[in-house]
Amino acid sequence: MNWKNLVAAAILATLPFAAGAVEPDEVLDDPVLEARARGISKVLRCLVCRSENIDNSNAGVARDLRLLVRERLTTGDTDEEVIDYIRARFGDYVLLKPPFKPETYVLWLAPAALMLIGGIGVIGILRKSGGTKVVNELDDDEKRIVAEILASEKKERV
Amino acid sequence: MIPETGQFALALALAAALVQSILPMLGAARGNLLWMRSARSSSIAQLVLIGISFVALMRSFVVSDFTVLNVVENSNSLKPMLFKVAGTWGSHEGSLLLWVLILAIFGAGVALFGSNIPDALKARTLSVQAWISTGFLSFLLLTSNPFARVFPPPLDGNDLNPLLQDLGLAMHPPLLYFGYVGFSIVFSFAVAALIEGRVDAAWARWVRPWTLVAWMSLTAGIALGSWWAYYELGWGGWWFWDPVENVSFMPWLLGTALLHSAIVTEKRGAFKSWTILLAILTFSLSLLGTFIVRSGLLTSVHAFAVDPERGLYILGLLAITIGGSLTLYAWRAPAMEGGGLFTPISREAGLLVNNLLLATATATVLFGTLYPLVLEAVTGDKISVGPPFFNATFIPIMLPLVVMMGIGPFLSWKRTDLKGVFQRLRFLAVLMGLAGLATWYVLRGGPVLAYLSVAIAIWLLLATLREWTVRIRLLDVPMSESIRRARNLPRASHGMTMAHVGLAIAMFGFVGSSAWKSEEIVFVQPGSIIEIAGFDVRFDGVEQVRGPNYVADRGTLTVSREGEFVTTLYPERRSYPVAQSRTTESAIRSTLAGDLYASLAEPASETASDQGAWTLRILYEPLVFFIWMGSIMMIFGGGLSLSDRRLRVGAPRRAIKSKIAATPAE
Amino acid sequence: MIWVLFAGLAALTVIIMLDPLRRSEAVAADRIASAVTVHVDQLREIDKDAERGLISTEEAKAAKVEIERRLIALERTKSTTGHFETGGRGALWLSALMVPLIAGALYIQLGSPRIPGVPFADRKEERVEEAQIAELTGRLLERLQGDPEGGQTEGWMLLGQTYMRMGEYADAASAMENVIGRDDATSAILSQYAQALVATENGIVSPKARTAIRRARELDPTNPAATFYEAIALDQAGGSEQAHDLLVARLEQAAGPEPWMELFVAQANRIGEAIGREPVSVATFISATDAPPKPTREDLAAASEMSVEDRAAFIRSMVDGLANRLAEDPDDLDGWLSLGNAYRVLGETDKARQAFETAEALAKNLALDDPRKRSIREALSNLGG
Repeated sequence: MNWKNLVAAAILATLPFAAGAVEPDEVLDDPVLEARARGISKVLRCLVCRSENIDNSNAGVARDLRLLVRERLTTGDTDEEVIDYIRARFGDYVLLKPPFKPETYVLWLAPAALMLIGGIGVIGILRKSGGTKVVNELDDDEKRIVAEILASEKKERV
Repeated sequence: MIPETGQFALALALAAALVQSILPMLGAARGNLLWMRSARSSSIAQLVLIGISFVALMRSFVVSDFTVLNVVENSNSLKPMLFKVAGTWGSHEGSLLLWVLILAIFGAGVALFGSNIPDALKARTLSVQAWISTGFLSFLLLTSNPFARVFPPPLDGNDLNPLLQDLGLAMHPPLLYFGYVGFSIVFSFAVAALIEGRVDAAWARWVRPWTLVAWMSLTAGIALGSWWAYYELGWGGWWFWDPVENVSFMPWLLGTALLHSAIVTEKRGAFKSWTILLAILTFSLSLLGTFIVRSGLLTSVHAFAVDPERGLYILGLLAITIGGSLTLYAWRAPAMEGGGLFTPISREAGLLVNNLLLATATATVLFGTLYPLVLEAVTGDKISVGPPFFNATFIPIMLPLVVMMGIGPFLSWKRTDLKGVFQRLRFLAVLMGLAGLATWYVLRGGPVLAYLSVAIAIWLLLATLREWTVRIRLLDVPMSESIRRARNLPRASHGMTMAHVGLAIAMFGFVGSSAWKSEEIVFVQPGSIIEIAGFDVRFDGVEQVRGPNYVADRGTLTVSREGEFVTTLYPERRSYPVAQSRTTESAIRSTLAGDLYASLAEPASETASDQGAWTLRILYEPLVFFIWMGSIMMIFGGGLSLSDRRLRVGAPRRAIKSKIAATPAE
Repeated sequence: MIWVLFAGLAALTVIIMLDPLRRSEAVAADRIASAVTVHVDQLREIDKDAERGLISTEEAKAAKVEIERRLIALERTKSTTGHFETGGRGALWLSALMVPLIAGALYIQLGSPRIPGVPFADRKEERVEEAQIAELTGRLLERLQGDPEGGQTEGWMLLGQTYMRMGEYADAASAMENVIGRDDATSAILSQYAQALVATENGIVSPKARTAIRRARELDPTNPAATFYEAIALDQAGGSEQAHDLLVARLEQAAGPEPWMELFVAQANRIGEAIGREPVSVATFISATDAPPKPTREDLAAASEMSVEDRAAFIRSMVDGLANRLAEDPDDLDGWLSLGNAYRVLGETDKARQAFETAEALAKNLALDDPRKRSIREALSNLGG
C-alpha cells in the first residue's frame, strides 16, 4: 500500500466517468422498439451509481441491464412485463420511481396530504379573514393624531 | 507564515464572533447604544479577518505551498492558474471557509448598508448572525482546519478532480453558497424580530433587499450548476434531480414563497408569523443542504459512520439552530397575528395559494430526497427515488402554480371583482389554447403534458405582459404618456414582470429540450455523415492535442444544413495524467432554436482506434438556450426590485434625550 | 517575525472592535419612529397609485385608513420604548481585549507557528536535487543490475537507503533484498532491511521482517534498531509485556546518552500505558556524572527518525481523504478495497471491516469468479466479520 496509489485511487473514486452511455452496438434496429427501450432505461437505476439511470450510466451493470431490456423487448414483452421482470430479479431498488407499497405510502401520499392540510388551513384563514367589512372612517381624535404624526415627519425631512 | 496568519485570523474571527453573540444582544435589551454599535464593528472585524484567512488560503493555492495539507490534496503545481484559485473552495475545508466568509459578507453588509434599520433591530440581527458564525467557525477550526500543515512538504500535489476544472463549476459553489448562506441574514432578521416581539410592514421592508440578494444569487447558482451539468457531463441533460441539486432547490422554492409572503406582510400587515416561519425554514433547509452534502449522508447511511465527528458536529449545529429557532417561534409567534382583512378573491388569497403550492412543492422534494435515507436507517429497506418520481409529483404542483402566476398580478388587494379579471384574461385564455393546438399541429410527436406545458408557458408570458400594459395603459393613452407611466412605475413592479416573463421563457426551454430532443449514438469513421434534426454532421477524424495539464483526443465535425456550411464542432476527450482520469468536453452549437450537442465517447474498440472509428453521440435539444435566458431574466428582475427606492426608506436618526442615561432602560 | 505579524493582526482587530468609542455622537434610530417613517411613506405611495389610476379612490381611502390606524397604534407604543444610554465603555474595552486572548489560546492549541510557508517556486533547488537523485539512483540501479558479480553490497545498501529517503519503501526493500543473503551482511544491514519492510507495510511487522530482525539480533544482540523492531513485533503479536521489558532492558544497557533513547522511551511508554506500567524517562537511564548535553529534538529530527512519525501522520490524512471521497462517491469498489486494506494495516479493524462490507455490497453484482470477491471474503474472515 503505497500512499501515491491511495491518492490516485482516492481521486479516481470521485469521478463519475462522464461520457455518453448507450453504445451504438446496443441500439436496436427497430426505431420503435429502441424508443421504448430508451424509455424503460430512464426509469431503471444503475445499481452501483448514485441516483443515475441505466440510460446515462456507463457502468458494466448498467450495460448488462440495457441489453437485458432490449432482449426482453425483442422477444415481445410489453414495457410493463420488462420492468416487472427486472424488478423481480433486482428488487425495488432498481426502480427510480418507487412502487406504491406500504413502505412508500408516506412518500407518495405526503405531498397530497400536506396539500390537503394546507388547503384546509388556507380555507380556514380565508373564512376567518373573509367578510368585506366596511372600514370605519377615522374619528376626529384619530385624525388629529395622524395629522400630528405627519407634521412631525415632515419637520424631520427638512 | 502566511498559512499560519490565515489560521490566526480565523481564531480571531471566532473570538470576535463570540463577543458579537453577546454584547449587542445585551445592548439591545438595555438600550445601551455603545454595545449595540459594537455589532457593527465586530461584523466588520469578522469580515476583515475571515477575508484575510481566505486570501491566505488562496495564496497558498496560487503559489502551490505544499506545506498546507489542503493544497497537497486539492492542487498541483501544473494546474492552470484559474483552477488553482478555484481549488481554494474545492475541498471540504475550503468550501466551509467560503461558507463562513459569505456569512461574514452578509453580516458586514447589513452593518454597513443597513443604515435604514433601527439600531436595536440591527444589533439583534447581527448578534444572531454571530451565533451562526460562532457555530460554523468553531466547526471549521476544530474539525476541518483548512490550514493543517505538512512538513516536510511533498514534492507536488494531487490535483483537483479534473471534472471540476471547468469555469462553470469553479464559479458554482461561490454563487450557490451566496444564495444558501444569504438566507442566513433573513433568518437572523426573523429571530431578531421574534426576540424583539415586533413584526410589521417596516420589518418586511427592511428585510426585503436581503431576501432579494439571497434569492438572486441562489437562482444564479442553480442555473449555473445546471448549465455546468449540461455542458460538462456529456449527457445533454440540465437537471437530474440529484440530491445535491435538490438540496439547493428546496431553499430556492421556499425562499420564493418567502419573497411573496413578505409582500403581504409589507402591504397589509398580514401573514406575519407565516413569513417569519418561512424565513426560519428557508435557512434551515440551507443548513440541511450543507449538512447532507458535507456529512456524506447523502450517498449512504454507512458513509456517515466513516467520519462521524464532522457529521455529528453539523448535526448538532443543525439541531440547535432549527430546534432553537422553532421553539422561540412557538413561544413568540402566537402574539403576532392580526393584520388586514381580505376576501377569498384577492391578491392576498392568491399569494396564499402561491405559498401553499410552493411549500407543498418543497415538501415533495424534501420527502423524495430524504425518504430513502430515512427508510434505510429505520427499516433497512433500500428504495430509489429518482426523476420519474419527481416528475410525477412535482410537475402537477407547479403547473397550477404557473397558471396562478398569470392571474395573481391582476388581483387587487383586499377584494377583487373576478368578472373584471376574467374579462381581461378571456382573450388570452383563448390565445393560449390556440397556441397549444398550433404547437401540436406543427410537431405532432411528444407527450400531451408537453403541449399542456407549452400552452401554460404561453399563458404566463401573455398574461404577465398584459398586466404590464394595463399598468402603463399602453395604447389606451398616447405613447409618450405610456412611457412616462412606465418610468414612474415602482421598480419592483417592473422587476416582477421581468422575473415572471423569465420563468415563462425558461419553461419553454424546460419543455422543449425534454420533450422534443433527438439523439443519435453511432460508430463513425472519417467521412461518416450523420443526419439529425435537419443537419448533416460529417465526422472528419480525431487528432491529439495538448492542454496545460492534459492531453486530449479532439474530434472534428463539420456541420451543414441543406448543403450550406453551418459550423465546425470540436468535441474532446481529455486525459489528466496527474489525476489519472478522463473527462468529456462536449462541443455545442447554441442557437435560439436549439442546441446541437456533440460528445465523443470511446474509440469504437481497442484496435479500431487505429482505423479512426469512434463512438459519437449527437443530440439536438430544442430551446435549451431559453432556460439560461429565462434564468438571467429572473435574476435581472430580482435586481430591478432591489433597486426600488422604497427599500431604502427607514430610520430617521434623532438625538437621544440624555447623553448619560440617568435611568436604566426598562 | 510571525509573532509580530500576529500582534499586528490582533491590534488591528482590537482597534476595529473599539470603533464605537470613536463615534460618540448620541443619535439613534428608534424602532417605532422608524416604523412610523415607513408607514408614512406607504401613505404617500397610495396617493401616487391613486393618482396613476392603478387603484380607485375608494380603495385608496380604505387602504389609507388602515395604515393610519397602524400609525396611531405605533404612536401609542412610542411612550413605552425608546430609551437609550451611552455608558458601558468598560464592557466594550473588556470584550475587545478578550478577542486576542481567546484567539491566542485557540491558536496555541491548533497552530504550527514554526512551519514556514514554502511556495512551489522557491523549491527549484529541491526539485533539481530530487531530479538528480532520481537520475543517480536510476544509474546506480542499472550498474548494480548489470554487474555480473551481483553488485557491491555497499552499492545496494546505498541505493536502498536513497529509496528510503525518497519514501519508496518497497523499492528500498527489494534493493536490500539482493544482499541480505550474503556473507558480508551485517546486523545493521539486516535491521535496515527490516525497517524498509516495516515501512512498506505502514508499520506492520510481517513474518519476513520478523525473520530479518531475528537474524540481525543473532549477529549483534545490542543492535538498537533490531531490538526496537523486535519489541514492535512482540507488541503486535500480543506480547506487550515482553516488548516493554525488552525496551527497558536495552535502555538500561546503554553506555551513555544515545540519540535513539528518546524514541525507545516514547515507544516503551506507549506500550506501557496500555498494560499499566509506570512511565519511564531518558534521564533515568543516564548517570548524572558522565552525561554530556541531552540530544535535542532537532538532533533527533535530523536523525530522520522523527520524520517517520510525520510520514505516519501524512499517511493517516491520505487515508482520511480517501474515506471522504468515497463518502461522496461510494460506488468505487477498488477505492473501498484500498481503504479497507489501509485501515487493516493501520490496525483499525472496525473501520476496515466496514469498508470491506461496503465493498462486499458493491461486489454483489460482479461475476462469481472475480478475484476481488475472494479477497473481500478473505479479508472479512480475517477481520472476524
